[in-house]
Amino acid sequence: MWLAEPTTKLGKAAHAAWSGVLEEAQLPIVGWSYVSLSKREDKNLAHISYLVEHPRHGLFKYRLQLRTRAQAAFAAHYLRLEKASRVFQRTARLSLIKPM
Amino acid sequence: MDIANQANLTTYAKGLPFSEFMRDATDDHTRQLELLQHAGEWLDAYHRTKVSETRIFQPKHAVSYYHDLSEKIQAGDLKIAAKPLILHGVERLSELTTKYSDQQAVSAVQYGDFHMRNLIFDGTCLTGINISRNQAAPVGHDIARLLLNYTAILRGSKEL
Repeated sequence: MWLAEPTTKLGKAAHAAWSGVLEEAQLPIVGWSYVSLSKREDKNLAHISYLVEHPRHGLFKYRLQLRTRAQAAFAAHYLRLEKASRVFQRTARLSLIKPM
Repeated sequence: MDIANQANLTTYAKGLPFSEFMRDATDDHTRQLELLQHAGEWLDAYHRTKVSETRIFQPKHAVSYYHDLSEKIQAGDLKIAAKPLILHGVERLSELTTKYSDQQAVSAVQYGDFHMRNLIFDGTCLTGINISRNQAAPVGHDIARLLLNYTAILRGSKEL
């Protein structure tokens, strides 16, 4: 998916983790295009996000957080989103993003 | 999700930040109210994903804290900007306390940073994109976060 080899530490980390994230989400490895959405790189905070698109699966947001390192909190936050996403009563007027 | 690398993939919400629609309606308070009610509907649906308990609303400790602050401000021990506005706010808080104390409040899972840029709107559908808390709190916390964000950005102090 990445057209050029990333040069920043954040970009490289996102590049390196990408195939594992796809595997976990049971999505195809090839066929993706992407654009950069946001990037923040401070002493204590570093994260990057991309808008990624697959012709058969649609649009997603891919995000990697390099700092802070808080894997338990990261997992808990994601599981909360997963649970809320399952229970949230979606209508034509109300929606919530879905974790993959 | 990849916990080790703190990476995840979520669906993408098409649209613009809710704040853009609110800003476009700056001179149309009726439209702003409709939009805020829509955000309220969204928050209600989110809170219902995990309602934890009902509680009796007892704001006496918080109110007491603001009274102490008020006294320090009036005595000149604490310097602040917008002094009359803050003092008027504390007075108003006392009035509201009498009205709402001891009523039933509902606790639910908190959204956290529920401000206008954490909702995406496409003109019809409102989508929440950035849950930041995973704990129960009175639903008023999220409501207050949104309304404070709205008043701070889109309303002048004279309108409060």
